[in-house]
Amino acid sequence: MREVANILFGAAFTVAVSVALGALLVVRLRLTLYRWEAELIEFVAGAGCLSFLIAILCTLHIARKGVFQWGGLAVIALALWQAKGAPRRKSLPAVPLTWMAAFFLIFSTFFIYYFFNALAPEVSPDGTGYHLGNVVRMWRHHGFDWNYPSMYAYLSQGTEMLFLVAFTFGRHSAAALVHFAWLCTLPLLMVCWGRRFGFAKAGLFAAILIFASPVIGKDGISAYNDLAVATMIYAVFYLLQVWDESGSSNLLILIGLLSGAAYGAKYTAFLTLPFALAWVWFSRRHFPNRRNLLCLLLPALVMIAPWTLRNWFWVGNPFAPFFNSWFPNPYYHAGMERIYAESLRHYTGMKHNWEIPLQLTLRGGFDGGIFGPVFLLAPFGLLALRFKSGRRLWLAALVFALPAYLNTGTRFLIPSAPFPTLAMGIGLAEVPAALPVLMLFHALVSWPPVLSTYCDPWNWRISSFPGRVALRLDPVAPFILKSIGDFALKLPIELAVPSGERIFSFAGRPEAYIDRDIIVSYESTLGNLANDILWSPQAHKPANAQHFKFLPVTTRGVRVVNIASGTDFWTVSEMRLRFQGRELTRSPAWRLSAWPNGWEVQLAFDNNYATRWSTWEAIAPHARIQVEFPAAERVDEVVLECEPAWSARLQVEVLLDTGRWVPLTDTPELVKTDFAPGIRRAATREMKALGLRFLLVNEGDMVYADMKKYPTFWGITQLAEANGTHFYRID
Amino acid sequence: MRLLYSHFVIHRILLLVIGALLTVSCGREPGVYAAPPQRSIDLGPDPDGPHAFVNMDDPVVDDYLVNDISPERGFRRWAFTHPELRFRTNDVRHLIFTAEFAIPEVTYKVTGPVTVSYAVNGRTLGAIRCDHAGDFRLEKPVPDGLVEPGKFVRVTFEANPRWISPDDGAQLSFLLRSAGFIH
Repeated sequence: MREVANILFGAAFTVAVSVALGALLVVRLRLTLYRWEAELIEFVAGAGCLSFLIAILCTLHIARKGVFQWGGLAVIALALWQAKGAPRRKSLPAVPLTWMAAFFLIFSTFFIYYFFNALAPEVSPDGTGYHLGNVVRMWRHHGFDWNYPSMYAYLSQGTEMLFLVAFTFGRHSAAALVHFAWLCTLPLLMVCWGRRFGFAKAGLFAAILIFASPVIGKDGISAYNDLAVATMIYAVFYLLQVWDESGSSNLLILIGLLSGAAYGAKYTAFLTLPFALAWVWFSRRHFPNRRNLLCLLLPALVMIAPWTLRNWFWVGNPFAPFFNSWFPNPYYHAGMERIYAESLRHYTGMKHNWEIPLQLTLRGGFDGGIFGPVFLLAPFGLLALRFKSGRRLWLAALVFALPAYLNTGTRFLIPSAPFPTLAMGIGLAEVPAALPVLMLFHALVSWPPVLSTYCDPWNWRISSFPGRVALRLDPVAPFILKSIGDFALKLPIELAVPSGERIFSFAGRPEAYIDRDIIVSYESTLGNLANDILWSPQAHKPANAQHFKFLPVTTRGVRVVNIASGTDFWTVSEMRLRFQGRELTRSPAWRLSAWPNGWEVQLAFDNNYATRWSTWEAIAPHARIQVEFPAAERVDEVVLECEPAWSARLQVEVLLDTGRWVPLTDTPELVKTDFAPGIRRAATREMKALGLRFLLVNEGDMVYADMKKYPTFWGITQLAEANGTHFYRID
Repeated sequence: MRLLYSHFVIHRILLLVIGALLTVSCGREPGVYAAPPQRSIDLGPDPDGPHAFVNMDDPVVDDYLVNDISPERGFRRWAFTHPELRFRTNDVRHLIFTAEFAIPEVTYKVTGPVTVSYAVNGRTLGAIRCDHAGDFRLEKPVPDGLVEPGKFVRVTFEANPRWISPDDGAQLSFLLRSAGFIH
């Protein structure tokens, strides 16, 4: 039970510090808020501030338990001292008691079910993968781990900052409980909105639709960040309407702060700030002025700054891991970004787009979760367009649904979901008994055991009530293992891999549970390189040589330039220069360069067929690979040993004394060649040189069959196997 | 330049553009590198190269493919215009050349009956007439002396007629499942 106490303390302490910070802020800004509403807004605003402060501590590498503990207690003490003698806040307009009772009955029932699920060991894929994987690394390093290359480490991590505080005291489940706090905040805030703006029943109805929604419940009990983002966005929308009434510039500061914090929580909330700016700009009630906009913009920029500046200095790309074409850097390839983004943008398995509404509401097999069948009635929300509030709700719904175009997962619609739900409540409010009936029906069909009877079997959802394991009365390992097969490899890995050494994996792993860093194939340039090396014996063993022959020239430089466009990558395993049939000896004084992806140009000059330089971008004119000599050399042939890129059109150019590059030939002779044997050994040797001596390979990975058949040729030994994942050591 | 002085480009826009350009300029520059230390190429043998027989889903199938066989992984691969494979066997007595392939319905509808001839080291060994879509298996004893022990054996196929893509003129012969020598 001590473990449970630690978990509860970790989560409760984080929430308490957030509320305290928020309370201090609200008082400083002299904002007038109603009871209930104030506490919720204080939590949301305080969490944004806490996240900002922890990000700074992480940058300075002083994110330690003592700092959190004493700093947090000081903030709580200050807030309590400030609250002493403060006047009691006014209540929001009343709601009929029967409505309130029904709301709290349903809310409490789901709350208990959710609470025990959040308290149980964390087993969500992204939660145990990168959300808490990043948190564990930060916890180990007392701040950001600048040496760990992963696209997920470059994302803004505002919610993870809160997780870090909770994790320090209560580990994984404490972090999940913090996210659960966001899940509870959102519907309560919706109720407040309804009461404040005259749509109390619609607010209660929508709050239950959101809270009981299966995908929202599952997401909210996991160490994800979607509910934090959704709540911040919703709070911005809420406060903008409060600002419409009050016109307080100080309120704009809070709105700006929340807009920035939303971006800090997740990049997909990037529209929050433009939305708020546009709202203020187009507000008819208060004549827009520069001061108002600055009140909004500056706090937002301050909250965004830790993430953009961190990535700017760390990766050279303020928006990493996106926009790598605009901000080329050696940590994440633009081509990998494109492949990754494409993979998220399409529904797989669906035959027609008409299936999307059913997938989102009833089935959930292809898009990872459902909102519930009642959401099929969302078009009735259009009836709310009669009201100004309804029009605003639909505007927000459309704006905040836009990021879902970039990722088809159901949970990417969560930030937008409260708005059409409220609109539905407003639209159907005048239909007798419609709201209570629908509310009860939704609660019934969203109740996890009922849900399992009609949704797709692999729909992402809460599927059990893990009461005993949540209270740690049952051992946690079997529970985790049931959802995360790789957990079985934790012990073999931690026994075999020395502390500080990294493991390579083609697929993502539950990093939060494995006390070693894992380099994943698609998460960084290092991962791409390791992946490419291991694939070389099968996927791109160099079997072709392109010979460009020309009359002998004396030159200070040679380059091969592409002059065509294509969709594939141009790769070069080795670039060799010859004169009269003999290769020019490569000298450390040679100056090598390439564009794009010049950082990896040495891979084409290392005499190793397991490595290759690649544009890592779609082939474009002016892509080049270039050598400059310290003194003039005689050359009459350039050989590119590679898999030919058929859409590329290459020409050899030499450097004149005048500094001009002159084309010599664009006609290669393609020769199929038997290269030196031992490419498997070359691949593993190179992996070791990269510091990657251990491999995690799934049976579905391309190399697995070959590794299983020829372990001696690879020079590897299998150390363990569990649930289709094989753990190898390179000997 | 005149545009810059016009009212079309106001200063705020200009500032924004300059700001954006400065931001974009902050990507890392790859720079210039020295030639790295040279690796030794020969690291010992591969799994002794091609053997006498291969299935198309074998992990080392690429070692057997010489020409005009599709690179996509799968248990069957498209044979294009002049498909060619290579094998190696030490025991050359009583060899039988065998192959399994399929003529898909989709190409058969266009081509009609197809004759597939096959040759070992350039010498035609036989032909099979495929008068329906579906799977085919061929087996033919190899004359003594045609295959030398331990040396690469080249096997080529010729299909007639072939399916020709109306879009780009690409030619498809058949779907190869396996090929090689058995005893």
